[in-house]
Amino acid sequence: MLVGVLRSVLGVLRNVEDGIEEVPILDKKHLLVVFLTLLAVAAMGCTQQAPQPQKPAKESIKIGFTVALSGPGAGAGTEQYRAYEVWREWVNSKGGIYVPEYGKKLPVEFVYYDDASEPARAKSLYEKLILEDKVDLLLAPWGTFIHLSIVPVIEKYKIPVIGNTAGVDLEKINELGTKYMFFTWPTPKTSALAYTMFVERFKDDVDKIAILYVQSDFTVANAKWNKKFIEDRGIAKVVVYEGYPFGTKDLKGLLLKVKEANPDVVIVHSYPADAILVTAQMKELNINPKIFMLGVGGQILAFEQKFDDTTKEGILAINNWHPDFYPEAKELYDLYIEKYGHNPPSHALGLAWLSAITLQQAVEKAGLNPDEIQKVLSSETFSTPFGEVKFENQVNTKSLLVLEQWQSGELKPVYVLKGIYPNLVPAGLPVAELEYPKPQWPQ
Amino acid sequence: MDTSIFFYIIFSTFQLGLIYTLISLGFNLLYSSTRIINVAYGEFLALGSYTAFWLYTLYSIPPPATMLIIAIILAAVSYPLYLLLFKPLLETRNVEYIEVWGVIITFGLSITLQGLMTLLWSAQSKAYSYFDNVVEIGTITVTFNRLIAMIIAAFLVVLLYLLLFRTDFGVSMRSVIQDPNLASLLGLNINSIFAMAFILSSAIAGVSGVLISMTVEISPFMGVTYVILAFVITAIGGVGNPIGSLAGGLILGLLDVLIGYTVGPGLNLFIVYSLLVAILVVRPKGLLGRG
Repeated sequence: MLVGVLRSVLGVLRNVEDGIEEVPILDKKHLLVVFLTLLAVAAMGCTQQAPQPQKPAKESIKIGFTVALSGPGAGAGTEQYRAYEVWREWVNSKGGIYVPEYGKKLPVEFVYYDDASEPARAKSLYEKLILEDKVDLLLAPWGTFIHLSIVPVIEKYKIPVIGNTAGVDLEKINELGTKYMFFTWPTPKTSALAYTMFVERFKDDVDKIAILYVQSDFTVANAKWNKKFIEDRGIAKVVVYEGYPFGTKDLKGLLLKVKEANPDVVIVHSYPADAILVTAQMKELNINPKIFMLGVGGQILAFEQKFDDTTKEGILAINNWHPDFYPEAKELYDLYIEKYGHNPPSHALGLAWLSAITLQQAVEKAGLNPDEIQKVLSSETFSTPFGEVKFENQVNTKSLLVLEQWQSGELKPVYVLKGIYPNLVPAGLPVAELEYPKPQWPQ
Repeated sequence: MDTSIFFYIIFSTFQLGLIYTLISLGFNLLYSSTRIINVAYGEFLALGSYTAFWLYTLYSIPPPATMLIIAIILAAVSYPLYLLLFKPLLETRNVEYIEVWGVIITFGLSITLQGLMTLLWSAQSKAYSYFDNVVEIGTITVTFNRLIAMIIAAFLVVLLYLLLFRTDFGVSMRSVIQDPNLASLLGLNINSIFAMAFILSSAIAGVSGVLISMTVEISPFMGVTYVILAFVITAIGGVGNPIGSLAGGLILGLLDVLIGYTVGPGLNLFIVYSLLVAILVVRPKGLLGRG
């Protein structure tokens, strides 16, 4: 019928164009076609009902996110994405997430983009996820600075996001005034306190401490509070306190200074690349403190691969989980290794799973309505295989601070605290015996 | 400062400086002879690092052997790349045009290679342990793999010097660096020299990547800092002068150690870039520049 109408119209136009005066514009056949078309359109209009407020059948839950798959954040971002993917498969293998308003479990599908470690790009992509892709839920991107960049978007559309790889102090969170971004990684003050409390146990045996840090917001804050807490508690003298640029290629000069100072404890608030550099050069210069602690980076794959077991022996790093703590944590970890190959239990994995499972539990309680999810996240306590979650002022007050040590080529938890500054208490989780002092570098 | 610290500083200057020199030589040679700023230089370096990683991890091939392999691979790959991307550009013989479009083309190549490496090997960084043991030399200690890297870098720098100053090819290349038009008038085959410069530059990048891979973590994006380093050293030491690259490399190596030991590494970048600006103001062609 449409073709007929089109022909009629074209015929009219052609006649007009040719300028033929006497030819009838519409002959009987064409007139009939147009009339029938108009009738059909009218009929469709009459039978068309006013849109009913009915719930369309839902096949799956669409979860959207961006993650750094290129650029400087890509190393950890790749891990975070893979962890999300393992969680998705795991949750779908159990039927999906239970959604109260549908009375059943729905499988999860992802809509995700590479934000290339760029905050501006992440921001516009999250807006796209919300407005164009119309996702039901959001998961967090990688990295503190990117988490912070998407806050205006999620505040505008009032969609909650459970953050993971972002550590921000309370003052900053208050400044942001956010009600929709929730932070699960401990605040810098909290992690700095954990480092301090660990060292305090050896107060009688240590006189001098060196604190080094890479110059990024998170590590600068950690180092600052670390130094302050150590000095306030009179644990030892901070003999070297020095920062170094992100992406530095050599730390020999700074470490020569450390060697001269001969500290008992060396704490490096690090990121992955510099964790490797510092360790290699400490070994090269034969600097042998009783305690050598790294930040993030001391528990990643490249670190594990770079140094043999004897070199790694006794080095400490900070984390937020361990597969030994809960069977489901081990289950997810084993699935990850099966799918992506060996990886030490790095912080990116634990955090990605913590945030995804907390979101899952929030949906199971509150359904898919963002406001209800936000309410439930703000008020309830969640029990996950990665620790408990209870948000106050948008930060988890029950974070796990896991200090772990390389022992015979494996990362073992040796000191585990729970809480938030200033209240950190032993978490009561199984730990291995600490090797103290750290063995000397193999020569 | 006790004497061992002094020796550490001297030794580190050479250890770092010679690697820096090698890296910048490849970049310098290409730019000074063709006026192409190869933004993808860092990615050739990264490819060298990845090749060393895979050959060592999968087949236990030691990195020094991989150097030869990567030099051959990159030489073989560079020639078609040259024909495809640079030959038409260089034939315009318009320096400004070449410089601008050289950056644009190699920038595209850089992004493509980064994407390719991410696709093939993921963005998760890798590393391997090769001769990680520490050896004593007098009062100082050094990781054996760094010592190897330093010695090989020194050897290659000398080799390149001999190539540039003691062979016909070297004379031709230096002629092109000094004055490409005159060189062409004198009957030199400019196009083949350009091609050789690109091949040589890529091979040097790959070999540098192998040397570096013994000590750092390897990722698709590792090249960025090295291409900036190569550029800075070329600018400081002087475009077109390999001795300038040596001087620039050693100066930067010394600064890295000295600044870290004294005021702290936080000021490293500021001091280096200030130095760069100061040198370029006083001597726009760099300390020993001639191209």
